Amino acid sequence: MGSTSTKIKLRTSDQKVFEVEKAVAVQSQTIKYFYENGCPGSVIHVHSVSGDILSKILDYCKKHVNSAAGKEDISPEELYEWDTNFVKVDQNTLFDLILAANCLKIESLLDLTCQTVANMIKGKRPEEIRTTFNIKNDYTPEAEEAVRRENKWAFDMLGV
Amino acid sequence: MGVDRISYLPKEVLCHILSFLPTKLTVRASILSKNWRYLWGSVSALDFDDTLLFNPNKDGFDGIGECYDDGYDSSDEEYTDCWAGNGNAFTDYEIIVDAPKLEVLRYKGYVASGCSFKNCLSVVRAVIDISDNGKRGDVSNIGLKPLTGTYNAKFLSLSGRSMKVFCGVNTSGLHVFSNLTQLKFGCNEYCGQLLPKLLEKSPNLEVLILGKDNAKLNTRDLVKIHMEATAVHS
Repeated sequence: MGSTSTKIKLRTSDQKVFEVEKAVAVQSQTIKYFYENGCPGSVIHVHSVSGDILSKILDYCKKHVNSAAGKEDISPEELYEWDTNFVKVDQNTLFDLILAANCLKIESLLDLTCQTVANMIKGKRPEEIRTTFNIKNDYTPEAEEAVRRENKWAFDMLGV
Repeated sequence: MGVDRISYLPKEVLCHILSFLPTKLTVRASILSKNWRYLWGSVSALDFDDTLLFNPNKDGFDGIGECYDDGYDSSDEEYTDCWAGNGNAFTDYEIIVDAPKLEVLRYKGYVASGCSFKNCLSVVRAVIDISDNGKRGDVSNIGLKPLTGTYNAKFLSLSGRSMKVFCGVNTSGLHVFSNLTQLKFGCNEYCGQLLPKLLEKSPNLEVLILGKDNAKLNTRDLVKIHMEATAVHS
């Protein structure tokens, strides 16, 4: 890890500027790339991420960097619990976090958030999934039946 | 009525979400809307439990078995042919997974159920849970077949039951895990026997994770594991 004094400046889509410890910022592979290949000291633009979301993401990175570096005495179970609470957010925020994690290339955060959405899909019938995520069923009844027939094994015992 | 945000995530992100689900559910998602129809064909994870073939009534299955046939197409990762049974558990079958682009493999099965993986060289993450409940015939050679999908894995997780099964089989044919950096295993009394062999075959291992299956493990066993592991690396 570099010296603790090294800071990276980030500017968000809503023009907020964050000054972040390098070790925390480079959890994002995208920021790391721009830091290593851009002018030293210049501000890195994270166009697609708002200040609110970036602030949350930096909390996440900080927590994980500190626990990995032993700066914070936290057990794997406690970190897991912290992560669980971190993703207890409304759907909009969750999808913003996913898009940001994807674009900033923070693999562990992308896994965490995608796993959260996967858990929201698990154990639900198609109609319940549609309701949860406001998905509009644009199949005609005939087309829907055809999809079911196509992979009959996956729909057996679904009862719908 | 809120906005549908999930359907408009980038395709690779949607596939990533689906990769955390059992394969059956990723296929079911095709019914949600047209946008979801073919997504499952691009999911780079295969997660299946072939113990269902032996216990068709388990897990909500009412007399219907399922089978992932070997129609797992080598070019576009779509397996096409699946098979619904007539209410009887399968007794004799062979499943061959041929999936060169597969990245994540989560497999649960019985030791002698004959599932094997060929051409799975892209798998980076493998979670294997094998039990011996369905043991038939000689398992000494067949026992390592589930590991054929893990040649290039960076992360390998073996359940405690799997450790027990692999202890009973001939491990001389065990391949070298040249890319393996993380090994997780269900910790039980069988570890001491198998772990040194695994470590010997994992020259680049960095992290060893002891799973929670350690109810029967006492300090003596741990010391034994440690001693044998040290012996391998010195």
